[in-house]
Amino acid sequence: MIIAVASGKGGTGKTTLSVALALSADEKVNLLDCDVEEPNTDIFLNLKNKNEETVNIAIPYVTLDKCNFCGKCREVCQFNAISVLKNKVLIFDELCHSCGGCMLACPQNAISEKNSPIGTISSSESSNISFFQGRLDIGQAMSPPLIRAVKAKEKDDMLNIIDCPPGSSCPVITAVNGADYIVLVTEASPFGLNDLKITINAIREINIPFGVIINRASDSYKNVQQYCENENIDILLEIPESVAVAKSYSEGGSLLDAMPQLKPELRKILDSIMEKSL
Amino acid sequence: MKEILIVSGKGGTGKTSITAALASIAKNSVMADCDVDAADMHLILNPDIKEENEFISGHLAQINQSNCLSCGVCQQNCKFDAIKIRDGNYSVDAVACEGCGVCVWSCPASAIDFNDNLCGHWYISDTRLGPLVHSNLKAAAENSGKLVSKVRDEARKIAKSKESEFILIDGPPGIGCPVIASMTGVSAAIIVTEPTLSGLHDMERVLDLAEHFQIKAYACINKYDINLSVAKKITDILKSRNVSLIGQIPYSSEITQAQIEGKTIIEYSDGAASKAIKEMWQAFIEISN
Amino acid sequence: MKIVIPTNGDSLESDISKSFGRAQSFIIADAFTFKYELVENTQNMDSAQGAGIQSAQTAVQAGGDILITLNCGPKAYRVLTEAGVRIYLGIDGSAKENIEAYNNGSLEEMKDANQESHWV
Repeated sequence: MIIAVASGKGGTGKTTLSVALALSADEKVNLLDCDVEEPNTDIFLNLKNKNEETVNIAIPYVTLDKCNFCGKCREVCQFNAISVLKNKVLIFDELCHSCGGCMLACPQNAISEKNSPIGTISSSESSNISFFQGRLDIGQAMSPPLIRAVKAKEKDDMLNIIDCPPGSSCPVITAVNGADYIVLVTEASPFGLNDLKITINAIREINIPFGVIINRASDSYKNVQQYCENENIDILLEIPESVAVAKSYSEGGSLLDAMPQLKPELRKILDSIMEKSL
Repeated sequence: MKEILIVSGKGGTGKTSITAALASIAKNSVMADCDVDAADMHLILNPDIKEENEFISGHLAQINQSNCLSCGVCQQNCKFDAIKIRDGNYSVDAVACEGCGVCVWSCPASAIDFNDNLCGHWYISDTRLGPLVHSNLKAAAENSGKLVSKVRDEARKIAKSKESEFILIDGPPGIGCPVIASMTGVSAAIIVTEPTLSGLHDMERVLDLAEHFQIKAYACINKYDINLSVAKKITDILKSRNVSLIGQIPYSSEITQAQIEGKTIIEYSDGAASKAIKEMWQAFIEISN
Repeated sequence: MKIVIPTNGDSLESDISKSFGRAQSFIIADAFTFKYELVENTQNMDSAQGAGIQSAQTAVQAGGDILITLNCGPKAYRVLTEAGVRIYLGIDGSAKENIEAYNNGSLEEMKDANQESHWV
């Protein structure tokens, strides 16, 4: 079972809800922080004994002794990552998408792969949570390969909760790929609503069932609720605007520290998602 | 002409509200909404669209069923799991497709088309606060970095022809491709953070990125009074990293209220948050000159 | 001595292009006789990334010894210099004016890229 927690707008409470859902479950949860550009989940967990591994992508490596400088590799590369000169081949690592096209195209078998690091995955474990977190190296542009590496830590026999990056394009789509259900977290504001709509459009393209949690709900702005009703979208929960929650969050406290009464509600949400997805 | 990027690492710290507020203060500026994944500037600026253009980037593979031999070569070679089989028919999952063309190249029956990929639209608009370049990325599309570059290019052209003093860029969250595309070559980056441990952590990552690209960075703490002790920690870190703190903006429910009414905080009120942003701009002008 | 100049026009009287990577074509001219040919650069216009690299490759393949340009990013710079092409900073004006400026020694050789990488 895989539940992804996503949002269009940043700062609406994805990480807060991912952690709170994980802590509300009856069973042990596999929690994956796929917001690899700005990973924060660990701040709210306090887990010890971290292990760390490097994540590499495969970049072409040309053996010049075998190369006849025919330029086929350059022609096949859609990302313009290869330049072939009279007696040299230049590879632009930062443009390479690791598609393997150049290796297939090379008639001389002169191209092999070498590893190029893009980030790390750290892991830790407690009695009720196993946790994996991706962290993109500074200056790396492409996060999807690292997100895929974190998602490779999903476990079939466990409840997996994915803390996704914000937005609506490739990083989010990569993070929610294969999920059984998506919990969309939004806030009660015009920006929150607009970005929610954008993300819902993206999710409808990939056909994964979803529901909405409205964070910082207030009586002065009900348009998110209205939109969900009009579109027949499940509102899973409304969390009222609260200074206590904001304060607890700012210090790395969990949502359940400030609002322990949410625990049974969140457990109910998990139960109903699992029931629906069976 | 100065290109100023407003960015944060962490989402939801107030980038867009602050960018729009700065446009209210700095007369004669051009605005660029580079948060192309979740563009919100238009909600406040109510743009009058003058020009609409298609954003085409890369290619998308499509299997021509009548020529397909169902040999499976494309599926073997695709590194992105983008070739699916349904009822014995091979097809390309457009969302997973990276546009690398390996399937097109390797198909023995030449049965795969490789058409231009329409990824969205970009617009040039008039607003009450000056010209705005913005965009609309197609749902689940790729290449947001290239769209960011496009939006910035157009904003620069307008700024040049109008002899504008500033380009104000509303940046995306994170530190990846669209942020890098927003940041390279700007005159200065204003990093908007908040006094939370996540805000602090993400600010450091985006400061690292600015350093990596040798961009002069300034910082402001939004909602600084939510947690004074974390705000102090941020102030200390900025000092040790030699980054000027140009503003501390108090928490104010007026920011959301202004948003609901489609106004900038400067237009909406003369309250404490509004004043703090005006002072911040003043400080930025003085220090950056 | 062959000089390459990016342009959006089609003759020696055409202006040098503001962009190198996304110029429509290249004028390949002989520095002394001013005889020239035009090489199209159209395959670059819509590429998702790396337009400068492709342009540089085109300039190299056209047999250029010298490139005169207003702008050059770091990736194109790497391709050109690795291929032994020397890069000179051009002046606003026609291709012809640029060649003349090169001939009388008033153009400066670029010792590094003068544009930020576009990154995408």
